[in-house]
Amino acid sequence: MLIRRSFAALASSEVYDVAIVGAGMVGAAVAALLRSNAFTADMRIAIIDQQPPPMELTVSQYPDMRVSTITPANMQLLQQTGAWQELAQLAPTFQHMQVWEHAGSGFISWQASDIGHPHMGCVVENRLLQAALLRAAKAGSSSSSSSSEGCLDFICSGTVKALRLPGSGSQASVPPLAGSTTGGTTGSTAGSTTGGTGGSTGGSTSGSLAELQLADGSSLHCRLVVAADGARSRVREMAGLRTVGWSYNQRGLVASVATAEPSDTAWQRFLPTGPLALLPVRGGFSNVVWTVPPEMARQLEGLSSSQFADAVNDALQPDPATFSSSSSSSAGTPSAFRSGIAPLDAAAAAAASALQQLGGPLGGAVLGQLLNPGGALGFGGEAGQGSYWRRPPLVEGWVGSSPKSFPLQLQHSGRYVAPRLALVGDAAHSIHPMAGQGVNLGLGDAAALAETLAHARELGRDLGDLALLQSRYEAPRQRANMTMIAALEVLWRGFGVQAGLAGAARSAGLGLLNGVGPVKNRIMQYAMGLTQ
Amino acid sequence: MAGCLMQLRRLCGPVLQAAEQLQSSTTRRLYTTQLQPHVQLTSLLQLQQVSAGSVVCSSSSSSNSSTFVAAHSAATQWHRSICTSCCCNSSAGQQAAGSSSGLQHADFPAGVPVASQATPAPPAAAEALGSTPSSSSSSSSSSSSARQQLRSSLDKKEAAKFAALADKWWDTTGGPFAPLHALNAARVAFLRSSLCGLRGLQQQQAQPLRGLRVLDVGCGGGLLSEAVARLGAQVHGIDVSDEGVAAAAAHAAGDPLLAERIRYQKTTLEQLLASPGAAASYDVVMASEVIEHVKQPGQFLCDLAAAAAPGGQVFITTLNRTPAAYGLAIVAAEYLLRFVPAGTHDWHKFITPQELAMMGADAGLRLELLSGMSLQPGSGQFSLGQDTSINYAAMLSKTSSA
Repeated sequence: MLIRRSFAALASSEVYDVAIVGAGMVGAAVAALLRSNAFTADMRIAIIDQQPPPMELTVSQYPDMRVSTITPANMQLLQQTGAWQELAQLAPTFQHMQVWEHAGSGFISWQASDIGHPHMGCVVENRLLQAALLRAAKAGSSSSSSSSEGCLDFICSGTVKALRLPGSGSQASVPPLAGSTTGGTTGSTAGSTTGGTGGSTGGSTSGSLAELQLADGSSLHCRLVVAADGARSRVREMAGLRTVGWSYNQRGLVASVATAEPSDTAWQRFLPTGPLALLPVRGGFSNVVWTVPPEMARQLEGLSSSQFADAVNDALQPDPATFSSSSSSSAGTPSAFRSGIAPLDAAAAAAASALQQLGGPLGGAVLGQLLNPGGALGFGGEAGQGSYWRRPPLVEGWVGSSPKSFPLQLQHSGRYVAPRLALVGDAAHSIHPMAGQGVNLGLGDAAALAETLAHARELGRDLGDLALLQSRYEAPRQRANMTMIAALEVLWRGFGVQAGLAGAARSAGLGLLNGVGPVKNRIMQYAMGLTQ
Repeated sequence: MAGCLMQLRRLCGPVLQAAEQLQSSTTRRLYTTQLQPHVQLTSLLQLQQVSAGSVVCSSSSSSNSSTFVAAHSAATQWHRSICTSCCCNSSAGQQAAGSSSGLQHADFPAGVPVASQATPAPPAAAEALGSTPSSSSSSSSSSSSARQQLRSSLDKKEAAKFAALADKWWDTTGGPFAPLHALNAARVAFLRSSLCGLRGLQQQQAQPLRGLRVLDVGCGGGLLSEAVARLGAQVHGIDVSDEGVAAAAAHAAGDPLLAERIRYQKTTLEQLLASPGAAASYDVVMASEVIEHVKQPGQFLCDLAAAAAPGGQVFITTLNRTPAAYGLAIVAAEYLLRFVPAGTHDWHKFITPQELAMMGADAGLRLELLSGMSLQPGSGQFSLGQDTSINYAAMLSKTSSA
């Protein structure tokens, strides 16, 4: 009754279909995707953030250091929203990828042409992607009005102070909304047999709306709350959804750098301290993403531009002893750098045991999926064209601002949904940024959620219905995200950290993988989002 | 209706497990809560199939037309024998419709406590609902004022009871009405697609039914009413069950959009038609999972037609009278599994599509579109298709001569 009474004064024109908390890339993508679908284009959408988000594609002289690798599949998604048109000039694609070892000669390289694609993805500055998506979301929607056309409101009045969802049994930790529960309860809160009415005040809960109370004292009612407020999601916390995860005791260090020559390759080397990636970005510059221990991160942050260049080149350029004959980046076919098939049995055994230990059944499934796409494999050393080790370009120094680092952690929410709530992006899962997959998983979430909502609207279903969200959003996304998380963990544990047997095995393993075209291509197709 | 669907669900699920559960559980609730409904319907592809006619048989052009014609004479005979007077006296009709809706809720989970606290004895809501002015049935009256009245007449305990009931009706994850939720997406998909086709509405939008006046006869907890309201329609839901109407109203009150677009009323179709301005005032009249419980389906169709505006549509979903439906809905569910009381459904009252077409024709309704709704083994989801042997949906149009 109380809930109903409080809604009596509420007109449908004051209710948002979707309130997105967090205007970051993933939150913006949800809004843009909803806007671009005929079934959701007329939605009333609110985007809530602490500060006004960037809406202009202003390009600075040097690229921002925070960038994301976008898979071809997600580039198509961006095209669908209309955001890509503005981004195309600002997000260079790369055609090659090379991953290699610190010690030994193990390496693996991919070419887009090997799998019949023009490119393997692009690298875009986070700020530009966010702005382009927000512009796409804003395009074609009225500002705020009572019109029947869709509207998009930006609410930048600070944090969400309180959240009220219809009862789900997990509402105990939600701070009560001041003033909204006056009057006596009917006692059903204590006597209710199901969680369905646990947090309510005796009214029907299954159909009631979600309510967000903002820092400025205003409140907002909506049919679905989308939590896109990042790894430390307050909305997730208020909803009582728990996460599992651990810290890597490592930091991710990023910097924009100038290189001796432009590159169309994504380079990544596994070092004893962690992987180092060099990605081509806008304007012929490159971006360094370097996973390092905390103390090393502090040192690197303090280096001058040229000192930093030396550090990166030391880490990235070949050890003369190992790669002595590889003087040019494109040259010949020194057999030392061809894929090594020799220690096949040892590598396979080591990989299998590592997976058993680290990835469990899930990890095993992942590798099985990667390695065995369609049946038997031929270990015939069918290295494709161009699978020779190539030398990465020399780094000349950081540009723009000095390198910055941030802590790395893995975090995964056990549930992505509750009645009238869906977590997307880092709020649901934050992962090691090693493969640049973080934002891709988030964009995958956004696409799945937008499709779920389009389906709901087509058939007159409630946008916040738990069964709908579970079956069409949570289940497929948890499958996809857990697969990627497990795969990255395997790579990280197996190849990223020096650990005796694993260290020896990975060198052989990389060479092995590089030699087997179908396997290698399968891995890349997966990483590019072209297969599930 | 709900009973049949539940039976189908149960049967199509792992049967052995079901039997075990039935043995070990004394209440239906225990059983039903273990069912996982996942309504997945119809992708656009399937919708397109419907609109393209590939899964639809109409009287003029379809793969089933020969069957249809062949059944014509037999059906007519049958029809004459059971529907003695199509424009019969109102008392019989009232009885028919009354029993229809009454029976519709025969499988309402009476054994399930609707609220944990002691349930207040007599539903004062009946009075309150009864006091809803019948003139409010005119579609022009303010629905919100009627709702306000309904709401304010309920005392707190009653409200809590109906709220709990609404939670049951609306538990999409395993409550007693999960089978209806499983069916809902399929029937809405058919309704949406066929209405768009027949009325020339734009399909590719969220609210193609915007502005249409829709009557939902036997609305129950409002599952279909809410979906249709979200598609844009102004919905008037009627039911003879106090509890159904109150639960429906309590649930719709949670969302202002639904509260603005839906009006629920406890009444019979006959009473409604007798009230001023109700006849011929609805663009679409829906009776989903109702007609199989009606004593005189022919008269029922006449009444549905009478409520529809000229050129309007009548939407029916029901069970076919086939051996398959008999085996699943009656033999297995009622007698073998004893899941619902024997006699909940009377197979002889099930209606074949051909009979529906014949009776509809006599009522001034032309069968336009027909689609089967089949439970997908394993997934527990209904989808539209050609198989009308158990559940099916039909869209009829009111002919000008009616």
